[in-house]
Amino acid sequence: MILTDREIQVFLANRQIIIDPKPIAIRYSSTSVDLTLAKQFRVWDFNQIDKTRGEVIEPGPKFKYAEFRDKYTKKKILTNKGYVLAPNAFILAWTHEKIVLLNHSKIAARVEGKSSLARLGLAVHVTAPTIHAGFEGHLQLELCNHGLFSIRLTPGMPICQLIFEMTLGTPDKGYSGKFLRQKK
Amino acid sequence: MSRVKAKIVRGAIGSERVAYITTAGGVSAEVILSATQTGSNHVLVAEVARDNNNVLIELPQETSSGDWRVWINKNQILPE
Repeated sequence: MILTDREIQVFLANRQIIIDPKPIAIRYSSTSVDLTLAKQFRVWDFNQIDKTRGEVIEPGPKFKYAEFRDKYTKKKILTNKGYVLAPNAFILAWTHEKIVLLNHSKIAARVEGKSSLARLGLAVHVTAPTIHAGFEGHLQLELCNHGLFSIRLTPGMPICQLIFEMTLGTPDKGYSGKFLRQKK
Repeated sequence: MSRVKAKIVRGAIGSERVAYITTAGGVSAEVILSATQTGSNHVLVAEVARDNNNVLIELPQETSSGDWRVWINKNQILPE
């Protein structure tokens, strides 16, 4: 079941869901709440990438994404002038709001794009929208401009929406240490 | 929640940390998570199952190789 705006606010009031800072009234729709763009983002460092033409990423057991990201991207800060995302450009960004979904709250969520931006060609994630029960942190966004025109991104702009869903039951980790399953 | 030994380094943004946890198979698993889910030398995890000397834990986030749950040696768990 998807939470409506009323239930989202009840869950926020009871601290079963935490969104910090709390969204203002205009950020809600009937079944979602908008989150905004943080100032920090990372762009790909093409000087570095050009040095390794032909390198193949092997996302197996030894792959270290954070090291890969730190090597091939550069940290940027979004000013009030904004950042122009060119067609076909792809950057890593975050939501300004921090999200906490407590294990025992029986809540999971999905981050999705906003239709107003989608129509321009802006995607906010690459096929991984699920926010699992127990999540804590700022949501990382994979912003990609699939459109024909450049799009100016500004700090604090509504960038994505969160849809909350109730889970059927509590996951194993919600019982951690109490009813531990024994193997064999 | 249990505390599992980990090497912790700063992440891409202020609230982010990168943790390296040694699995029972000896592999260093990388996890990107929130600072509040870590300490200076540990990650908060949920224990899901036990098998002799190993513990199956669920991480707060998926590892870089795509695993939510990994087996670790029980001596990786810090005392309460």
